[in-house]
Amino acid sequence: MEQTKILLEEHEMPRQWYNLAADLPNPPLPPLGPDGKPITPDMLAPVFPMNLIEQEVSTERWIDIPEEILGILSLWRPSPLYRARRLEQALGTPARIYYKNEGVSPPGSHKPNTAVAQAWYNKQFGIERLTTETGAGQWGSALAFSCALLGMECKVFMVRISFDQKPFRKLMMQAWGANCVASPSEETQAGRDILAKMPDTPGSLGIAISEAIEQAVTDQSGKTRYSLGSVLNHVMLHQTVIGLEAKKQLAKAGEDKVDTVIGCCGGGSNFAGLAFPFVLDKINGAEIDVIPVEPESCPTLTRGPFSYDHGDTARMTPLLPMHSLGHTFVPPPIHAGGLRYHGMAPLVSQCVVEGLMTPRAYHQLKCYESAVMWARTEGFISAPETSHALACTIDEALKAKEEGKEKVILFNWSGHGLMDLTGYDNYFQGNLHDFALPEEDLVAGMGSMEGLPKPEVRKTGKW
Amino acid sequence: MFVLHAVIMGSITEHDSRKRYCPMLGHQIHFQYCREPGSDTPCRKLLDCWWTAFDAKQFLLDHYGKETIEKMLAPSQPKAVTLYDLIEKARKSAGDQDGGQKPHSTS
Repeated sequence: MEQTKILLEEHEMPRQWYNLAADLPNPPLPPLGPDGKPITPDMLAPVFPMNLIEQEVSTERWIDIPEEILGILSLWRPSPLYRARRLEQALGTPARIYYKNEGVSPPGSHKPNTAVAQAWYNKQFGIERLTTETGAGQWGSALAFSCALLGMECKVFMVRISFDQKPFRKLMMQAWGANCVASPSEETQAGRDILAKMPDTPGSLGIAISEAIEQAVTDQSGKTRYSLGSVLNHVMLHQTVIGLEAKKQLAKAGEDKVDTVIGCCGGGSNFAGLAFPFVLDKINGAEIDVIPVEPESCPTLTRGPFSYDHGDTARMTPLLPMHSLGHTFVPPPIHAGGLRYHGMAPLVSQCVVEGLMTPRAYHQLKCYESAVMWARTEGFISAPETSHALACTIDEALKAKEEGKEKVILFNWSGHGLMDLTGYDNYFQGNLHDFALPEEDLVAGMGSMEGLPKPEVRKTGKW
Repeated sequence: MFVLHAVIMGSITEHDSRKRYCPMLGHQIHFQYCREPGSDTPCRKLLDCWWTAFDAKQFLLDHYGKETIEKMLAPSQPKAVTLYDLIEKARKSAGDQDGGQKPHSTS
């Protein structure tokens, strides 16, 4: 019988996180505040403890993981590395496909890798309560879980429309002792202001984060802070346990190199967690394709009401596979993926600018097709975000088949979709239509990129 | 003439019952939420999410003014800037409520 799972013992867990900021040739610049001066991490001290702020700005390559954090992570870590043999057979590919199963954590995703760390550091700093915002509840439940294990209070502001539509995640948070309220709420000035203007508002993440921040900042005891699950450097840092474990597991499986590393990329944390340890190898000369996968972005850009101030030379744009458009020419680089998209982790963005990563976009029809193929071969039902990584993995495996190459493909199976089955329902009912973009729109889109001012980018030009 | 134009344009609610996964919230939502996401403009990802389902660009042009669309599609600011802005806003709000006194300083 061929081996499917490659496991590590608990004592083989990484003892240090990897900090990519130590090795990026041009680390991201600090963002500028409204006064034009850099936002420095200490300006965030009202919401983050100083020990996390230190991690946020650290340039140390390796940062020790405290034993107590490792102890909690060992409830589910090291997560298994799987060989996706059944998918390989179904595709007829010579590629060897491996994936990290981050769905084994109690909340069901990669998010507690940082939630546990953040809760612990806050507790060390004397903090007793953490606030946060959440939509569907993936992050909220991860933080609730972590606070429960560390004996801390957890307050979650859940976007009202999500609070109403996702009762099960709300119950998970309650099971872990968190106080989850619908946002906007009467508990903050931000919430009251919105409710006064729009009493029936469905809420938004912007409102929910305002409430969470306000509660942290205005707590008179000084023992409340805020926590977030993506984007910032310390979150990426904590997630590198994924990629560091994967390296050890691949070595155990007899693989001496990996050709392609893939992960879905929303705020960037699960992708960074898997990819950053391999980006280090790439910086040191390894040939690895590192692919962050995003949802589709609209490729048509016209002048007039739509104006953009970045051109495509920043290479922020995910390349949309030709076949998903059904057209024979390559659509223009979609810089909207970097602009209209919500904030991407600066470290991930800088990797893209350097050419260390090549983003790709897939539309949801292809993602659900891939997720169903995955369920019918490997058995697991994937979270909607995870299905983007599946779509890309299948594409790469088929490309390896065409080329006849025995590529090693590694991707992050970031979480299960057992709480998100309504999306599959939409797919099975045939509701994910394809709208054919008029040819002239695409042509016009290409032309509209000319003449736009080019952003200032900091890159070595090496990759 | 106005009625004819309105009929040709389609109602602003004509796509409200369409449903898809929202990458921001992490669950299925109706298009109505994308149109009215608890803010003063449609969601900034409306085009990105819906261009494969219907002519979302034309929908925006038909129903929203240039200023609204430009505001909607303006680049998002970095997370650290957002957090700083919210900290300052919360401090100011608390200061206003306490008659100008600052909240208890954090350790």
